[in-house]
Amino acid sequence: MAKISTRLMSVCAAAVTAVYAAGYIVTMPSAQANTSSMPDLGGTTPSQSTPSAAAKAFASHPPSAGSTNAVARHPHHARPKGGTGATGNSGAKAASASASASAKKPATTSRGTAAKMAKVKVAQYKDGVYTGVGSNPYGSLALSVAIRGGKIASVTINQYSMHYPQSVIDPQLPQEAVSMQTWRIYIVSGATASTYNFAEALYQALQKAKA
Amino acid sequence: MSRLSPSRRTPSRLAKFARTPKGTLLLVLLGLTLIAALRPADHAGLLNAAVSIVTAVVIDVGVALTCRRRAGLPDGAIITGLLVADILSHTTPLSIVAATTAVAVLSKHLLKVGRKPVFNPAALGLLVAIFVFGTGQSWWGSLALLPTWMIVIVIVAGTWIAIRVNKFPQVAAFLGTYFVLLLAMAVTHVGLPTNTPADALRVPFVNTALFLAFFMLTDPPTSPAGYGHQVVFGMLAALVGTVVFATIGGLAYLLIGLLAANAWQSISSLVTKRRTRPGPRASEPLRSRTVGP
Repeated sequence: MAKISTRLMSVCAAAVTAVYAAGYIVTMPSAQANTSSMPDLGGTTPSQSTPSAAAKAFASHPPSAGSTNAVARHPHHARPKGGTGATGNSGAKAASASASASAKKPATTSRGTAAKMAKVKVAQYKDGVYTGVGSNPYGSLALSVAIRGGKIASVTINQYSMHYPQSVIDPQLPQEAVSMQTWRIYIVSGATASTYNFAEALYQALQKAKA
Repeated sequence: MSRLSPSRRTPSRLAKFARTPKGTLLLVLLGLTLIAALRPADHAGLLNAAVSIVTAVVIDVGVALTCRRRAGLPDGAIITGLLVADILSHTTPLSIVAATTAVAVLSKHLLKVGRKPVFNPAALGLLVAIFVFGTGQSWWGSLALLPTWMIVIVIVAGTWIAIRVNKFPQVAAFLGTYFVLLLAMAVTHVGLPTNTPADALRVPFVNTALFLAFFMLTDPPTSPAGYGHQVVFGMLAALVGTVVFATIGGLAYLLIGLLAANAWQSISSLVTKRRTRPGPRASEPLRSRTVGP
C-alpha cells in the first residue's frame, strides 16, 4: 500500500493543531472560571501546575504507621460498594456527608499509635469551624472541620468537583480524619488525586485552627 | 586488513526486533514508563509494570502451550501489560493489576474473528477492571502528572509510532474529530458541568487522548489497514467517546470509543469477507456443456 505523503501529513497535523488551538482558546474563560469557582475560604489555592502541598507533605512526612505505598497496596478500607472508579459521574452530587463524631475504634495497632501521637497535638486546635480547599489538575474540593474540645469532631465536604465520584472518598476519609485526629489520612486506592486534595484541604483548615 | 566479526556485520536479533513496529512501540512505551516513574509518587508504577508484564507473558505462553502453538517472544502480551500498567493508578493493588492484565490477554485469545482479536486487549481489560474491580485510572504513563511541557515527548514519540505502523490518517482523523466535537460542545454549551471541554482540552486529560490515539488506536490487529477505513475508524472512536464524555463523563469514555470502533472494524471485515467469498460459478457448467462432446 502506498504511504501517505509527508506534505499531506503536515497539512493534517496543522489542521488538527488549529482545531485544538481554537478549542483551547474558546474554553479559556470556562477553564479560568473552573479554577476561580472555589469558594473564597481565606486560604491560598495552590497553583494547578505545581505539586500540591499535601503531596509534598506526604512525600516529606510519610504516615508514621507503615509506608504510604504499603498501605495503598493493602488498603484497610475497602472501596464503598457502588463506587465506579473513573467511570462514575464526577461528584455532581451536593456534598453533605459528614463524619460521625462517634469515630470507629482504630482497627490496627499502627492506627492506634498514630491516634496516640495525634492526641498529643490536639491541644493545638481552637474550638470552632474552619475551612480549607484542595486543588490539583484532577479537580478541587472544599471542606469544613469542626473542632470541639480541641479535637476534630467532624469533617464535612462542602464542595466537590473531582473527576472521581465523591462516594470513593466520602464518608471514608472524613471518618478516618476524625478517627485518627490528623490530616495524614491513608490513600484511597484509585482516588489518589481526591485523597491528596482532601488531605491538603484538611491540612489548610487545621493550620487555621492552630492556636 | 580488518575483517568485521559476524556479530558486527549482522544486526543482533534484539536490534532487528527493535526495528520492527512492535519493537519500536515496546521501546517507546518502556521509555515513557521510565520517564513517568521519575515522579516520586509514581515510583510504585514500575512495580505495577513488572507485575503486569510477567502476568501477560505467563498467560500468553500458557495459552500458546495449551493450544500447542510455538511459544515465541510474546511481544504483543508485553505491550498489553505495559499499556495496562501505564493507565492504572499506581496505587492499584498488585492483585488487581495482575487480574486486569489477565483479562486483557485472555480477551485477545478468546474474542477473535478469524485469527485477529476483536477488541484492543488493553482497552477491554481496563474497561472490565473499572466495572468489576472498581479500579481508578491515572494514565500516569501518558506523562499526565508531570510538567505540562513533557506532553511534547508524548506527541513526538506518538507521531513516530503512527508513521512507523502506517496509521497516521487514523490518528489524525481521531484527534481532529475529537477536538472538533469538543469545540462544538464548548460553543454550544453542551455537556456536564463537571466534565467540561475545557478539562478535556487541557493537561492531564488531553494526555490521555493523545496516549490512546498514538499507542492504542494504532494497534494493527484491531484496526483497519486501508486509509479510507482508518479515517472512518478514527472518526467513529472519537464520536462515540465524545458522546459518552458529554452524557456520562468519567474517564472511561476514550476506552469505550475505541472498543466501539473495534467492534465496527470486526463487523465490517466480516461483511467484506462474505461479499468477496468465491461462490460456485454459474457459468462453468454451461461452458463445459458447450465445450463438451
